[in-house]
Amino acid sequence: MGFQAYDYTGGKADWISEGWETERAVGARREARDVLATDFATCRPNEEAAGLAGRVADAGDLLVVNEEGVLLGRVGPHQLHDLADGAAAEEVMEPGPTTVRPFEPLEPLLERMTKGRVREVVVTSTEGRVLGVVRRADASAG
Amino acid sequence: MSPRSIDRHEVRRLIAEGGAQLAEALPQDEYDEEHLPGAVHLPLKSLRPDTVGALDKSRPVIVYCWDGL
Repeated sequence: MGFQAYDYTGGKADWISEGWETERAVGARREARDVLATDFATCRPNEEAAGLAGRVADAGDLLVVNEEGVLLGRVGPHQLHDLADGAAAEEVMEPGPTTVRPFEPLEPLLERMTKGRVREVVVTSTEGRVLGVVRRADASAG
Repeated sequence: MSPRSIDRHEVRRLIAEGGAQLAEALPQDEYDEEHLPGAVHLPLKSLRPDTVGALDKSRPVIVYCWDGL
């Protein structure tokens, strides 16, 4: 048909995952990105686990991320018991926590979180970079 | 010839530098719910010479789906 054509293979999901501007209908369904909290705490995989206790006490679970911000795991109070000398965060973390994408429909997500007694869920891009968290208490109030 | 695959950075560059047009190949309700800025609706089933009239042949066209055509 005579066009110089390109295929944006990542598609709409990729674009939304980056938080880039879109044209969205008024009254569109609520999604995870609409209640995203960005005040989450992180640590690097090679940080010594023994040194994380204070931060875990203050902030709750720490998200273990690499230099690109890709989620690797999570460290909470349970992971900091009976530590081996010099153990690193990546050795004690809970690997591969459950995540959702920013376009995850919010109401079904909150129902699943309520059923599973899950307080917060990590939201990542299609490439696994942490964008924020959805906290059930905050999202339900909105 | 198949369209060349590009990533999101290339999409932005082609729009900014080449005046590229965006075309969403998803159902009408998905397009209406949300689409990339300035994108026209062009579902795959309707890709015929008479239905692409909204596009300017002198400008590149970037087609996208949800996560891959």
